[in-house]
Amino acid sequence: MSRNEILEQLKEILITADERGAALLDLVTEDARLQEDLGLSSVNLLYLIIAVEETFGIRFDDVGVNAFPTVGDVVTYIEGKLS
Amino acid sequence: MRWEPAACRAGDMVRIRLGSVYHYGVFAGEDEVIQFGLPPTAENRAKEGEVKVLATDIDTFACGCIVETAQLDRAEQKRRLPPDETVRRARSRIGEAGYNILHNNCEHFVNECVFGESRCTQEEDVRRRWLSRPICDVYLMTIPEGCSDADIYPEKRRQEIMKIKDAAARNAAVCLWQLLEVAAGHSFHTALRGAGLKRRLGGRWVCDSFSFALTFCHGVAAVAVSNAPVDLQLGGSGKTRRLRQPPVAIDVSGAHVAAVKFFWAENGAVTLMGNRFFE
Repeated sequence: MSRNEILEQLKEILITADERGAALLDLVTEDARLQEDLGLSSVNLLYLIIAVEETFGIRFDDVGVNAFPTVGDVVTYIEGKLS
Repeated sequence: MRWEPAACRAGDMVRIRLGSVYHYGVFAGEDEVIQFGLPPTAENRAKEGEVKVLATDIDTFACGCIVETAQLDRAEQKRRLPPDETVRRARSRIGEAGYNILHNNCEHFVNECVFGESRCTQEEDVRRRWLSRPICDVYLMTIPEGCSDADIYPEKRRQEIMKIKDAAARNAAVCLWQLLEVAAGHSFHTALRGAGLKRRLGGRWVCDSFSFALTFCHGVAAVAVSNAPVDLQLGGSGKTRRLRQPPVAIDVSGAHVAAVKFFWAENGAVTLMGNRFFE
């Protein structure tokens, strides 16, 4: 799965994770910071991680509190897990 | 289990609310609350290196929030470990690392100390929310010529399709069923073979795993899949939304229409179109 495909799947998840829905999509770039730029709450972050586990069939077994500052960091983690 | 801002005794589960999440600890005394990592405030996050099991006083644990104590019901009282054993277990783990936000966090830690069972209700609630989220996805594709019926499942449906006399309609039906297979895999992570497909009296095909509707118009095949009843029309009237490419109008109706996502399928790839393609 390419980096861009992973990003597209993440966008799908973010639509359901956040009540702003599709309006959030314009903000989602690899450089966007999950909390500061996208404004995701702690629960939304938990939702994002769980949704990624379910969607990609991976397990976040080595994740710290500050593991994913940006969307690109999440993509890189998934890419690493899938490869 | 209820949570109340009540007096704490040694071996109690305690928690504070920080924004939309909770931080948990085992109360051993006013000077000793044992927890997996400091409360995740911005300040603590900035200064905390590797997250470890540690003990702090109750004020550091509370960080200005109200401390709630778990009020166990009768069954939970029976199930829990003796309070002194809870405190012993918690103390024995001070210095332990291996924190994981999903699978080994502060709530897992207190549940292991109090019940001998590692679990996190916050994670379970959020996972349940994800698995029960509204799904209503619409898949579209241009109908190619000469679709192969070789992979159509079930065989009964394949035979029905092969009886369609009009070649264009037969080709569209094959294309639709193939698109349904794509939709089942993409939206519900299942193959039609495992989705419990059956034919109702009256001729309509349904399946146990999700609801679906199929239609085609102007050379475009469309499939809607949802975890609530769904219907679909192309080239309809009324509350339709018109795609720029291809030029067809789409009516989707069902309980989860507010969450509709549109996908375009081409050469085996599925692309999310969102609703940005609508005029």
